[in-house]
Order: sequence, then C-alpha cells, then structure tokens
Amino acid sequence: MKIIWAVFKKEGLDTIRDRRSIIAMIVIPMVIFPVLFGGIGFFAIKETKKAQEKMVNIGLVQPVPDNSLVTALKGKEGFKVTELEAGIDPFDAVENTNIDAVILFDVAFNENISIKSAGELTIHYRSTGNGGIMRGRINSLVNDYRQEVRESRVQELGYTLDFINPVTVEFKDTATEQEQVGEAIGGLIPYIFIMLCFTGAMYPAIDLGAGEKERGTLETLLTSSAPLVKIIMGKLLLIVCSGLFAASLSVTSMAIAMVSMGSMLGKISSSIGPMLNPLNIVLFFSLLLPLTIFFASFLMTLSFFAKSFKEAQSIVSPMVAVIVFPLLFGMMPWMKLTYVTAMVPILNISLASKAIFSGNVPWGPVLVVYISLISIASIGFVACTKLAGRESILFRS
Amino acid sequence: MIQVEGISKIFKKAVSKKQKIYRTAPKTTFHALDRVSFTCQPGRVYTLLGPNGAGKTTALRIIASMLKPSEGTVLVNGIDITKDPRKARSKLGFLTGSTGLYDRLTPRETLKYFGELHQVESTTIRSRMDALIERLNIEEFADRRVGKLSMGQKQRVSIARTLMHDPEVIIFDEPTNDLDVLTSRTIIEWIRECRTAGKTVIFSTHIMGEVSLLSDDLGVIHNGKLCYNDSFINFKSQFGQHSLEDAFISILEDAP
Repeated sequence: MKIIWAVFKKEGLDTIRDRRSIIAMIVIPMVIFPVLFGGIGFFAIKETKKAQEKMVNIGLVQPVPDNSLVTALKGKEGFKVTELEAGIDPFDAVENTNIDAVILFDVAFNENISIKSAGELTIHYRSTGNGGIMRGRINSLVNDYRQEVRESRVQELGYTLDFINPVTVEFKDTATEQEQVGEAIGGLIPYIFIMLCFTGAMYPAIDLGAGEKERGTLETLLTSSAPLVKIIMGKLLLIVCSGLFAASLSVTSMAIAMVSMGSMLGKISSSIGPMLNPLNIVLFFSLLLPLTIFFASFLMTLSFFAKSFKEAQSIVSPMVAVIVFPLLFGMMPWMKLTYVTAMVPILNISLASKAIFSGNVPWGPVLVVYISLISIASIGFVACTKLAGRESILFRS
Repeated sequence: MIQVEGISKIFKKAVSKKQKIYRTAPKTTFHALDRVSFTCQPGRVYTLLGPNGAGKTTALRIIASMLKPSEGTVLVNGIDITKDPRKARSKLGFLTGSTGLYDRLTPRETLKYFGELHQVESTTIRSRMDALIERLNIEEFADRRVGKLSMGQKQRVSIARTLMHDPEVIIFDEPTNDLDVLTSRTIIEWIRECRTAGKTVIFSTHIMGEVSLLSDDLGVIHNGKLCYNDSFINFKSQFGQHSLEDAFISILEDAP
C-alpha cells in the first residue's frame, strides 16, 4: 500500500506540474459549460432576435396596387418600403442594392381579387443568411391578407370562417417542461461528462506510460525492488482520479454557469437545475467510477505499448471516436435503457444517466449496468497489469 | 558479486504479413545473447566492451532482472534473479547515460521517491538523502526542477538516485554516452569510488579510453557471444605490442 501511495503522490505532483494535463483536466472542463451555454444563449438567441427585429428593405415595383396588403407592408414596424420603377430587374435589385426583397404585384392583382379569383405575387429574395427568417416575416403579412380576403368572401356568402375550417384541434401535452427539455438535452449532459472524464484521464495516462519510456525513466523504475503491479496500481489510481476530477469539475462548472446565466437560458436552466440534485449526481458518479477504471486500464496499456508520447497520442486519439459513437447513439431519443442495452458498455452509462436525470430510474436494468461496468473494469484492470508487465510491451522498439 | 551463468536471450523478430503469406520470412528469432558466462568480483570493475548492437544492454538488463533470460541465470550476491527478482533488485543500482530522471520533480523529490520505491525506512531516506546531497554537491540545486538543470548536475542527481537504497552491486549501462568530457569524468570518478567502497561494479562501453581508465576485468562481447573474458592485466600483456583498439579489433575478427 505504501508503494502505491508513493507512486500516486509522485505521479500526482508530476501531473499537476504538467501544463498539457492541466489544460485537459482543469481548464477545458471549467470553461466548456459557460462557453457552451453562453454560446447557445448569447449568440443563438440574440442572432435570431436580431434577424426578427432587423429592418427589412422591401422594394415594391410600380404600378403598386392599392390594397390592405400594401398598407400593411407600409405600416408594419421593421419594414421599410421603397417604390421601384416599372421594368427594373428584381434580381439586380436584391443582389446589388440594399433592397432585401422585391415584391411584384401582377397587373391584374386587385381585379382578380375582386372577381373572387387569385391575385399573383412574385417575391424575389435571397434564402441564404437570414433570408429564411425574413421570408417568414413577409409571408405572415401575406397570410394575414389572405385570411382577410377569405373572411370577407365567406361572409358575402353568409357563412363564417368555420365554413371552410370544419374541424379545430387542440393538443395538450402531459409531459412537463422538465421532461421535454430532459429528453432533448438529457443525453447531451452525460455525453459531455463522460467525454471530459476520458480526455481528463488521457493526458496523464499517456504521460505515465509512454512519457516514462520516452524520457528513459522506465528502466530506472523497473530496477527498483517495488513490484511492477503496485507501480501500475499507483499510476492507475492517479489516472482514475484525474478522470473523475475532470468530470466533477465539469459538473461544478455547469452549476456555476447555470446560476450565473440562468435568466438568459430560461427554460433550459429551470429544467436542468432539478435534474442535477445530489442523489442523481452520486448515482451518476457511482456509474462513472467503474467506467473510469476501465478507461484508465485501457489507456495505461496502450500508453505502455507505445514507444513515445507522440505514438501514444496517435494511438489514443482515434479511441475518442470509439467512445463517442456509443455515446451519440445513447443520445438518440428513441434509445431506452433495457436489459439488453444495459449490457453494452458506454452506451449503457449514457442511457442509464439519461434515465437518472429524467427522474425515472429503472432499477433492474441499472443493476445490470453496474454489473456490466464493474466486469469490464475488472477485466481491464487485470489485463492492464498482465500486459503492461510484458517484456515485449515494456521494451517494444 | 555477480555470477552470470550461461545466459541466452532470444528475441522474436517482427515478421510482415506478406512474408508470412508467401513464407519468405527469414529466421523469426534473433539471438541477442548466446550462452554468456562471466563473474564480477566485489571491489573490482568489470568492463563489458563491444560494438553497438553486440548485446551489452541486453546482458545488463538481464542482470538487473528487467528482462528474463531465455536460458541460464544470474546470481547477484548469491540471489538467483529468475527466482527472486525483487530481492535481487534491492541489491542492485542501475545507471544509464540517459539520466532517467523526472523533469518536473526536484532532486530532493526524486531521491525521496526512489527511496520509497525501494521501501527504505523514512528516517533512513532522510539521512541518506542529506548525505548524498552533500557528498555529490547537489545542495545548491536540490530544490530546483530537474528539467532546468545542466547535464552534469542531472548526472550527479542520477548517481544519488542510484545509491538511495545503498546497493551492493552497481550496473552502469554506457553511462558516459553523449556526455561531455567533464561530466564523463564525474561518472568515472564515481565508478572508482564505488570500487574503493568494495561494491561490485559492472559497466558497459564502446569507448576504448574508458576501458584502460577503469577496468580490472574485461569481457568483449560481439554478436551476442562473449569472445574475451579475463583480467585487464592479462589482456594488456597478451596484446602488449598493439594499441588497445587494434587488440579489440583483432578479437572481433577472430570471433566465430
């Protein structure tokens, strides 16, 4: 035990003094949530709002008919109407002047409306950028006008609008707001925690194995009378701690982000807040612990196998994709925790945490998740101590 | 005392898939060492001389019980390294040219760590660390990070690290490789000091100059075989008329 502790202490000191590990372990988990939420809240919401409130320059090509649509366009806030000479090239106007959309009324527009036929409108606009939002805004005005004409025609016949809208439906959602948000982003949160746990463990693992080889310290370590298994255990312990440390930092950072940006995020934060109660977090970490032991053993073995830090990085980096895949799969709303999916490592923790965070824990399958994760952790650990001690791996050249 | 008794080491060669399929693979094994035997006495320096790739490092790694011999065994102070490697290692110190230190630790932390790995009592760690720091003039940089030290300073820390568990047998694997003259000299003096202290010393090199500076006994290794093994005095009288280098080359040429 003394040796394991000595190795743990030394590796801890060594890791804390390593900039690369600190970035992966502390900096990234601390900034990811504020940046992510800030990004969503600040840019996404603001940009949409801006596009919705932005002044739209509309060009109406003469002759402009006199009807309530034109009046609405001219009077609507956020619209600026310019009348354009007849025969202008609408394409050129949209592309090369400050006009955002050109509306062409058919010559017989008002006449067609009055004889109960359809009036024709041609609208030129650019769909890229915020064009979609602008189109929606113009369309809603056109719709209002359409409704107005429709209503007056139906009234002339002595009916109300119900004559052409015979059925009205109202859907009532029984899912609470928390459940809705939970389903939409509930899978995302464990995904981020698990990824950060892996990357937090990754750098120390590479440094503790391949780094040791590269600096020529492995030989001196092997000539000590300390048993190799204990040295490996000390190293694994540190890697596990780094991974869990990174994960818990990210939880903390999320909580901080939630509190400080809560008002901006509105629905998201009021829904995530109750999801992250202490019991859920303890449950999640108890699932994460065996997975981290597996990650650590796996990374340690690869790291000892590699000849240099660089080689270790190039072996380990693709592994991120291997882990991301089941996690992404677990984020799909239709993926549920069953006795079968509970047996698939990584996918199972993603699904189990989704269930935990949404508040309905299926205890049977969750037990299977524990068994599955603890078994791969044990297999990984035993394999690591066996493989990492092999001559062909330690002295691979 | 080190008794090397007929050790061989066979490495598997990597064979490409293509060669496997077409069965054009040459021999898939490689004899890094072929039945090598010799003895190193306490209070004497045994020099293992050989060209690059002769098997020097493999032999020393086997003695240090980092690698297992394919056949034969080594006794370190009477302890069989294949039967009780941990006990054998507790008697051994191992030093290479690449200092093998942790850049982000200070010399003091390094010494403490290796003392702990060797399960030295914590009071002994403290007193021995202080003694080594004083004797090797480490004091002024004992709390600076190793990565910021000069090569000569690092090498002194490395020597102290090797001696933290007071080994009776010390193995130097090309300890002066890539070192400048001054730093090499520190090491050579240390090897002499270890000899005076009655320790068993084995060191490997391919530099002729160091052989005459240090050797009491000499072994020449070539292609995994020991082709000369006698005291250095006998070596000099046998090849007296030649320069050391000529003698070395003539031994290699006569080797089977």
